Amino acid sequence: MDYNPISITTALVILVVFGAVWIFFGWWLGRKNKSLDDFMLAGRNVGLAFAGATAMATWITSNTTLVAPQLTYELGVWGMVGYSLAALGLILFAPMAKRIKELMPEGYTCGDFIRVRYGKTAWIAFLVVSFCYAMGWLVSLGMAGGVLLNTLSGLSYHLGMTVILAICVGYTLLGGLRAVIATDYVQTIIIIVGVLIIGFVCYQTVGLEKVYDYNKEHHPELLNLLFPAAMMFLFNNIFFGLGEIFHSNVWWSRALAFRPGIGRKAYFMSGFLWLPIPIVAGFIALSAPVLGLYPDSSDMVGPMVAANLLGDIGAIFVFIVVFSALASSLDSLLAATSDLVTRDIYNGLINKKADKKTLHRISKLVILGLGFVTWLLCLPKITTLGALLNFTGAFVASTIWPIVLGLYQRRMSGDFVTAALVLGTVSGLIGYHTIGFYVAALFSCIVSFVICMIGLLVKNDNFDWQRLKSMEKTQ
Amino acid sequence: MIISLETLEALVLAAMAVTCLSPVILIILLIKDWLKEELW
Repeated sequence: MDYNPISITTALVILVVFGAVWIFFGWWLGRKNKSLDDFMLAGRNVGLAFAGATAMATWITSNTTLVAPQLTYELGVWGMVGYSLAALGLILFAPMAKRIKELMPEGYTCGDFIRVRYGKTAWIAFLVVSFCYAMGWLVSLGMAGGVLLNTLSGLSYHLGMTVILAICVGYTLLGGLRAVIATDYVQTIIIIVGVLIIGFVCYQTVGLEKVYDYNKEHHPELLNLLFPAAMMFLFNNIFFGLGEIFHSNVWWSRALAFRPGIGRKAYFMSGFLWLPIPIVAGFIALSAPVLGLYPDSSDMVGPMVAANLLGDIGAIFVFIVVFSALASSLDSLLAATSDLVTRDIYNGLINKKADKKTLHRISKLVILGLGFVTWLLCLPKITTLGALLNFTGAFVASTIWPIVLGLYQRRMSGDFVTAALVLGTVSGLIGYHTIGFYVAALFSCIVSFVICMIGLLVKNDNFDWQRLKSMEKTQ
Repeated sequence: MIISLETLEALVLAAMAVTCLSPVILIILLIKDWLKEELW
């Protein structure tokens, strides 16, 4: 069944208007960037409003707005509640953000931390894990852009994906992290208002009592608090979310960019404000059966309900909300991954004597290159979004304990961290292929935890925290 | 074990209330930062 509630012309007009505004914004903010610190870390002095909004916006991806209703439609109440528990990642990262800023005030990336804290071998293992995840997320976002445009308007997947990628690369290139953070603020407001309007109209028009009674009679599993598949999803999602946030340079670069004393407040606030969004975005899916809507592809249940309740305007609302959610994550990931490539690979391995002016230039080239590579990988549309994301869970969950223990425990040694990263990832991948996606992050995290605990018992690294302040170079 | 209507309603309304507050909080913080010249 073709479901294209928006005309191609409307979709293109929205894309052109928003694209032009974001790119102008990027250029305007980029004029203030005078140094590498300005471009990579927005001058290291970001205040609470921008800090809180950028953390929220980055964590609201296309998944939150499309997959939260999908999971509620498939797994019921636990689907939306389980998804909302991904906020734990932001909340638990809050004290770590404070610690990161205190330990390495001159640092640029999470790679800097791993290199100085654990040594070269662990650093390389970490970079591999981090790049696999970053590229997986970038490609999933690029693909989501193409799929969204194709589904809502009928515009070709390749054209939609190319336009969305080009817009995000454009303003990130022009304005660096400053543009990313400022656009994130506007995008956060758009996303929240859009999600709220759709949720409120659903609550008022359909009525929760009617939704409850209908599902209790026809789909009681959706209201079942002991639904086994939903419980497994919940635990896997918690570990996946923790791994994603704890290790990714997206969150580390923000911790380093925020003004001293702001990181902890910003991550706490964004976590608590993010927590209810999957519930508001997700509960509308419970009304789909009442409205007689049974989508062919369950990730389109949110847009279908919105379009049914608000007419074509509802579909346009969903389009703008999901486009903003996509852009706010894509730009952040482009900027943070470019920092990692520039700082850790170019400056750490290829040209160790590069000055900041050279690194600034390289950083821009890397953003362009990453955009191009993402575009190339998105072209064949080799897998589904969900499969790609769940696959990366095996990688990221292995980093949770090495990061936490590295920040707070002097004893933790690099040899055991390397083993934890490698064996944790391998176990997660074995679990993914032999049992299912819902155990990948769980297996990876457990194996990594056991190795780290053995490491703490048998070896004492007695790390000197001062080494992080001076940011030693690799030998 | 089926969730009760009252619990589901409380969950959804609480989520909507907090979500309503989010943009208000963010706008107040933006104005405060702007007045103190602490945006960046």
